[in-house]
Amino acid sequence: MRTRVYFDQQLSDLRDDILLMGSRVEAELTLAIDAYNTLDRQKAREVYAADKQVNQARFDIEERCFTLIVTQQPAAGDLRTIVTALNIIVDLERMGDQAKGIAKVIPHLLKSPDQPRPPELVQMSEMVGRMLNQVMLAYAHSNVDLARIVANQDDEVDALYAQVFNQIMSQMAGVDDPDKVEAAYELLRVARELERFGDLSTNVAERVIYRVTGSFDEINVDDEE
Amino acid sequence: MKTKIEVRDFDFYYGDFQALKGMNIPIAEHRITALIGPSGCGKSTFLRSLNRMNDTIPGARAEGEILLDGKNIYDPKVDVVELRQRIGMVFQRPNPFPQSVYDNVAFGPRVLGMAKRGRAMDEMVRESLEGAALWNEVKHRLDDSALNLNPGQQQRLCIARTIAVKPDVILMDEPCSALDPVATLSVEDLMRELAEEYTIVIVTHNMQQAARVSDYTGFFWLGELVEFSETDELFRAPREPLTEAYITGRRG
Repeated sequence: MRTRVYFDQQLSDLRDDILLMGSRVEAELTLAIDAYNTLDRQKAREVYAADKQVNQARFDIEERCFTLIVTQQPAAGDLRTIVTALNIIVDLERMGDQAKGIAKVIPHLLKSPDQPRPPELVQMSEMVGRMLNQVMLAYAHSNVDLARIVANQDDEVDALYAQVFNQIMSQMAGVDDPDKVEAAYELLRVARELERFGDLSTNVAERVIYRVTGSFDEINVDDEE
Repeated sequence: MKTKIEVRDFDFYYGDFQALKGMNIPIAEHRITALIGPSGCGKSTFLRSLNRMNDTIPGARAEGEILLDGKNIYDPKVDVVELRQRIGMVFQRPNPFPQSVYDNVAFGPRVLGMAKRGRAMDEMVRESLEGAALWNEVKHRLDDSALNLNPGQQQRLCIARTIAVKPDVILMDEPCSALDPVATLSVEDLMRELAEEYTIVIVTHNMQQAARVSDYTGFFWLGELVEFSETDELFRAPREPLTEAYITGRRG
């Protein structure tokens, strides 16, 4: 006899909604990068609107998780599914904030539109976008191997960030035009947002692993911290 | 932490039917151990094996060892009356005697000659009722019939009766299944207090109860112990898929 059909349906709806939220964040990032590439204020405003939707999704899902906990008394894998959901939506929401952070930079960059922009930034954005996409796939299929693959890519993102950082710092060294200094500073900010975006995908990957295995497995521990 | 009861390769049969298969369970002293599993999985049989309550069942037979403080309780030299004084039991339905509250508690000590009438006995009754978190509710009605108490009070009276003979271990067989939620929680709170002095083993159908009150949980299925771990671990991330299926309500 199959039991808890209703509860299973709720859990499956929860997963679908988190996947939907993930694809919204992915779209928000794509839009933010597009806005950055084209320095388009209108697109930047669309990013803000997209971020609002992501935030709303987080609160909706959070509330449903509380309802499930209080009405269904989940245990074991069910409990981990719900707690994982609660954690993942926070990470996704932050990723949305990171994308929004990129859009916020655009008015500043417009003050000095000829400022050369490191090509690695676009490369980073592609990488973190792919990480998010893959980690949501790992979540959808509860695939620990894929989650680890995602987490392992974070080192490359960090390496690119270091490159961009050095480049911009050396550019800033010879510049005395305040607008250019500002633009360089804002480019660093974009790099920082993308680097954080990658970290958050790693967090999600850790949650996917925990959801499946039941043990905390911190990946990419930074020994220097 | 000391192991109070060590169950070793214990089998139990009702005639040809093997109700318990190769049980190995350590029961930790001054801790609460919960046994969960569907009806007919052997958890009550197991509980009753711990103070040889099954002895009187015709055709019943036990193999293996159950060591209480290192001594096998199935040794033929063991005095069963003394064993049951050391390992008391609280049942599913409160079963007070149709006597006064006082006499219910005094019954065991009297039979065992632990105290005579008078002040020593009064003291023992008070202590036991306090221990069962019932004293304040009944101190002015000690002569009333125990049957006039409400079910939650009756169950706590049965617990007082059990602890009056100063056991080491208290076995509880679904002690809250006949109680309403408030009375259930009061008995659960009491169990926590009792665990400071006694070792408790509880059989429960209510998984949330096992999760709330116990330190260790054993999951029984068809006469076998499928999994035994610390309670929080078992309910957070059980090792066995069958445990997972049962505690999440997918199987049972």
